[in-house]
Amino acid sequence: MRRSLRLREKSVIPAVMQESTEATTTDGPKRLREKARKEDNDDEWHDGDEDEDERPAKRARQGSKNSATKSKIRSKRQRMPEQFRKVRGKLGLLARLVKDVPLEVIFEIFCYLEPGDLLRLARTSRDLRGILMSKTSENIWCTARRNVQDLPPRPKDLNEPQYAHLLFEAYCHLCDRRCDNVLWNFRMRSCKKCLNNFPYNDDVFQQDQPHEYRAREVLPTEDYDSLGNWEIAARYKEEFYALNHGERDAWIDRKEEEYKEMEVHSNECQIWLNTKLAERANKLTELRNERKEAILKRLEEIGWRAEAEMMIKDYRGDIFTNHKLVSQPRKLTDYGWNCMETELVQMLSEYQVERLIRQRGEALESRYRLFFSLLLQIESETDLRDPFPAAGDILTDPRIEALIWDTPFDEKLGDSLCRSKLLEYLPSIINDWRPAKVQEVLDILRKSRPGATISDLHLATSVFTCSSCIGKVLHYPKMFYHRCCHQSFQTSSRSDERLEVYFPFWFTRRSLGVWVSSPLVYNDSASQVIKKIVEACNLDPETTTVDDLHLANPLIECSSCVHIIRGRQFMRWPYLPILHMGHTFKVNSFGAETAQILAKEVQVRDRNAICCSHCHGTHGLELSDHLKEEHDDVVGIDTLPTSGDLLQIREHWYWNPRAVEPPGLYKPFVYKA
Amino acid sequence: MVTLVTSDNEKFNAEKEVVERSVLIKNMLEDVGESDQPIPLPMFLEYCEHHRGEPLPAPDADTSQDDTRKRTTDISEWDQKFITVDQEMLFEIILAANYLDIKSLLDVGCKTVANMIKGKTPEEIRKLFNIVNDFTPRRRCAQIKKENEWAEDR
Repeated sequence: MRRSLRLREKSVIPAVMQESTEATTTDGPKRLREKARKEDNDDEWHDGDEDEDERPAKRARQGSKNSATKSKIRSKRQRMPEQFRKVRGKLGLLARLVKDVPLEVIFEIFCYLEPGDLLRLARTSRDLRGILMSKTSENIWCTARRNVQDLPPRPKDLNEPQYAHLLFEAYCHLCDRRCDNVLWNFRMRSCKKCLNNFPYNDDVFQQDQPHEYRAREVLPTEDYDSLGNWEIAARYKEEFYALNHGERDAWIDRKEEEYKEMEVHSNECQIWLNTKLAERANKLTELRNERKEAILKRLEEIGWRAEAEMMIKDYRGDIFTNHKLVSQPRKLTDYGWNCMETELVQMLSEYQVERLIRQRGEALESRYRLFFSLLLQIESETDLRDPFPAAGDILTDPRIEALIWDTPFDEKLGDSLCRSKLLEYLPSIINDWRPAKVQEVLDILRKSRPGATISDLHLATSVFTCSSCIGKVLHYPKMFYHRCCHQSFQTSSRSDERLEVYFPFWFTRRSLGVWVSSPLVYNDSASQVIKKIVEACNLDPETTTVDDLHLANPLIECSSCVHIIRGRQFMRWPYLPILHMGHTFKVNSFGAETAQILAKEVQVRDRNAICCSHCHGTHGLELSDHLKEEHDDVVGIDTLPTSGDLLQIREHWYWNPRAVEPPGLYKPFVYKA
Repeated sequence: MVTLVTSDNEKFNAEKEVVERSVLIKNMLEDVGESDQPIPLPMFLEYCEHHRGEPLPAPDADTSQDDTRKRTTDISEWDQKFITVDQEMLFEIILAANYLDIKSLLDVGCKTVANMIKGKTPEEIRKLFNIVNDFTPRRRCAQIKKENEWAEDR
């Protein structure tokens, strides 16, 4: 015997049921359910005709089986679709509860659920659907709704399952895809894409409505009043025209009132939904974080946590957290971990290999940058009138390379260590490099002047030009700092990897290359022009050096470039072979007009034009101040001119071989009498 | 002391205060009075023993209960451990708790089943409880449409 002694006291039993149960307390749950079902047929939320034919025969409770019930089970199995007939074994707990437990116990269970759970439960089997979709179960749904915090009450136009469906089934009612967008006034969900299926609430839509309520707020709209609904409009129209004229005004008033209520309710529902979605999003984030932490713990046990954390902090993006196995909002189980372990470890191993390569590259890059900046610093303190090797010539020295490549990559190379090493190795590097490279330049000169010696390289007539950039005139030692002469390594002498790492630096900073003489050619035409200038200065072209000619500093006029309006073109000698090759010119022969012409001359303001002879820094026109501040111990302050005339302190500076512009204190200028 | 006998004839001795958590037994004891006759009973002594001394629900507790309250499915830690059993045993517990009218135990059983159902899809519920899906695909579509249709007559 199974009967409920609590039956009489149950308040959660649906009201309709209560009456029945009181009458059948001693009949047991089977009778009770039969009675309830009988009533359901009269008062169901779903169609009875659809169900009754297909509903399987009720299985008798254990212990009361007889041949009749067995035959019913058989007939049920026969009616069952083929795919379900193979399900074996005893039915599970819920199925047994439904069949063998008093209804009030089942209702007690259901009252702990939410409407969404009830809805899904009703879709599991016909028995459960039969119980839950009966109007007699309304109290269960009401109780279930109360279990949902802040849920607005059910609107009058929806029944309990419909309301639950609208609230909890996050699928588009048009395309069945997941969707959180509810059109509350239309009592349906629609994804953004399917919103296109609704008409605009425009003149065309309005014209189709009866003129009696066209201007009234009767028809539900959505999306800030911009969308209408043909189905609702048709139903309203049908309802409206079914009324006689006398009833129509009252109908319009009523519908208008209903719509107002609907709007208020919809707003409440949207607030509830927003809160629910936010809570869900937070919950999912929390679950994901918990899962990630659980995975990290597991990884820690097998020694991969550190790698995973590096992956998380990777500046290019957190691939670990976003990995499909990690980002799931699900608690990590032993089974789940066992399934993912191999894949995660593989991913981390690959990442580790890639990271080490990347970090090695970054370490190399930073070391090259460090050495390059130190080299620039040392170079700025060096007298460059003697050729100084290019960065590539120094950084490819085996001792420097060993320091860069063979120091462990997680070890930081300090500035002072690198500088001291550079200063230690530089003299020997320069000693090896300089004679060889000077010889290369001399060889070029000898092609035109056989028998030339190293001292001939200093002559004003020893003019070289770059075959890569037309127009550049390069005297000794300027060619050693010309950018076209800094080129990439000879690949034959490099390992591929080192070249690969170093090449990008060379590409961005040309001066990081090695110095090559290949772009240099001896320029005989320019040499002839200079020779004429030297001769015009009453100097000997065979012995006059570049410095001698600078001291002579002849004023030259290009006779070919006289402009009728602008005037005559004047310059100092370094500009002539660059700008006026092949032109006719006059040197230092302007008579009484010379002073007027010179008055038009403008001094060069290039800070890099000259170097201090004492510290080799570049100071331009402010050299005099620099000498007073920094070198007062070697330079007699009283001997320095107050005017800032650089020619008066010529022994304290020299032309900067690195300067891009031709050497000279004055720019070419135009004179018009 | 009261002697309880299970359906397979195993006998247990328990204090009256413990077994009186069952309203059924309490009523029986009141009806029969002091007696040496054993009372047939499945094993629920552990549960009753643990909850000994806790106030019993008033006879009219259910009817006086505020039906508008929100029902939570929180279960105390001990009860949670107690109820962690297989489905077969859970079923028996619920049946017996209902039969013996042990409200608190019935609540624990019902909450446990409710927790098992919560948040699951129909398919997951079917799998969990081994329920045969006796709906045809056509019917499933019809059912959703029905839930979704505008119920004008309500």
